Parts: sequence; structure tokens; C-alpha cells
Amino acid sequence: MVVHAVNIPSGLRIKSGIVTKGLFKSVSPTNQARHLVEVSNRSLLPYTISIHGECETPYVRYGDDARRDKTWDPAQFIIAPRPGHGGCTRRDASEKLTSLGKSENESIRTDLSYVPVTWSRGGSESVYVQVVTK
Amino acid sequence: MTEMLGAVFPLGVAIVLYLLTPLSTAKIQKVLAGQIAEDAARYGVTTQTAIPPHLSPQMIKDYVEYAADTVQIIPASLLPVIGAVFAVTTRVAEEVALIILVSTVVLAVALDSWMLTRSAPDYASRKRWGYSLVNLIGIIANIVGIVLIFWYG
Repeated sequence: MVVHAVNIPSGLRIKSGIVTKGLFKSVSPTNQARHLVEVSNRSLLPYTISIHGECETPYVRYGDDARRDKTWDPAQFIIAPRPGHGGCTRRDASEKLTSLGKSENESIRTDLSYVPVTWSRGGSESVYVQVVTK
Repeated sequence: MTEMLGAVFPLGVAIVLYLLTPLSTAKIQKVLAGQIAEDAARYGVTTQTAIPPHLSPQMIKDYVEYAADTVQIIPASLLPVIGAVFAVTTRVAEEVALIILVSTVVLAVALDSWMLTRSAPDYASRKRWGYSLVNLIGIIANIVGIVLIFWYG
């Protein structure tokens, strides 16, 4: 349930996936499922990262009992360069997920875009996560 | 004892080579940064002029470190091989020398192959205490070689 973006600059790594509290990796109103996007940067360049999540199928939604949204747009952020002595910097963003019914094949699309800071052009990629809802 | 020292000497030299690598890499980085600054002055490039991210000085530092390590794996692995061959011919710790010979070649090929699958920033970010992965593996492998020769020789 974790998908890595592949067409990204060297040193940058972005993965999108679903995390749950329960033993079974499915989305339900009770298992506190979240859509998690993790970004790590092993290069010496800072990047501006934008994320747009969208539930493409009818039984999965962002939110909880109070609200149910089809899309998720966290604020864009800058991921700093790696420390000079080595290692990497990490940032992540997550949002609650809930289900509206049982389904075996629900899909969440994540549109990712990355632009090096001080440069006007970057790139983008969409990754898809398949989930089971209960 | 003299033969044993002869067998150990190339391994010690290899360690010194690895220890000195960060200095030579830093020197190459400094020289390259100076050349870039000189060219920038010559061509009238200012801080407002954008440099493509993949050609920025930060990326060039990573390229240099990556290139320096990739280039040195095979030559540096020759030193323990020479030591092992010397040990076999002088009949000092022959079994250990053969183990060192085979494991050095396997390690060098494996490390070289692994490095070629990594990007320069990815590789350069994996350093510890200022030493890159190749340096650290080289130092540890050669220390193990010295210990084995003294232990079983």
C-alpha cells in the first residue's frame, strides 16, 4: 500500500501510502486510517513540494464522521537540503481517511510536484494507491 | 616476521589511502568551485543569473565525491590483492591470504556495481564522520585483513 514516485530528481524520494492502526490494512471509519505522503531529501538542494490527494472512487473519502472530502490539499512546503555531514532530511503530510461502504478496489490519486528553490521549473508526477474499504 | 610485515604493509597503505581520500576530494571540490567562480566573473554571471539546479555548486560537490570514490575502488582493491599474492608466494599465512584475495575482489565488484546504481547525491549523503561509504568499508576490510594475518600467520 506504499507507492514511490519514480520520475523525480536524484536525491529526492517521495512515497505515498496508507497507514492504519489495525492489523488489516484497510480503510474503515474505526481503524484510524491515514493517507501519508513522506518526502526525503538526500541532495544538497532545497525543494518546494506540493501535494494534491484525490479519492477517485466512491467508497473512500478524506475526513471522519464530521466531514467527508473528495480531495486533500495540504499547504506546500520546502524540504531542506540534507545536513552537510550526511544523512537526509524528511518531511511528511498526512490526512485522515474514512470509508462510505465496502469495496475491494478503491483508488486514491496523489499529484506530486517538486520545484528546486531558486528555480522556476520543476516536475510533477501522479501516483496511485489501491485500498480496500470496510 | 619480516615476511609478515611485507604481507601486512600493502593493507596498511590501503588504509592510509582511504584516510587521505576526504582531503583529496575536498581539494578537488575547492579547485572546481574556484574555477566556477572564475568563469562566473569572466562571463559576467551575477547572483541574479540562474544556474540550472543540476549544475549548481552543491550538486558538483556530490558529483566530485561520487566520481572520486567510483574511480578509486578498483585501484585501491589492488593493494590488498598485491599483499595477498605476496603472502602466498612467500608462504606466509597462505590460507588467510587466499581468503583476503577472494573477498577483496568480490567486495570491490559488489561495491562498484552498487555504486553505479546510486545517484551522486544519494551516495554522498551516506557518509559517516566525514568519510564516504567506500572509505569506511575499505578501512574496516583492511583492518580485518591485518588482524587475520597476525592471528593466523
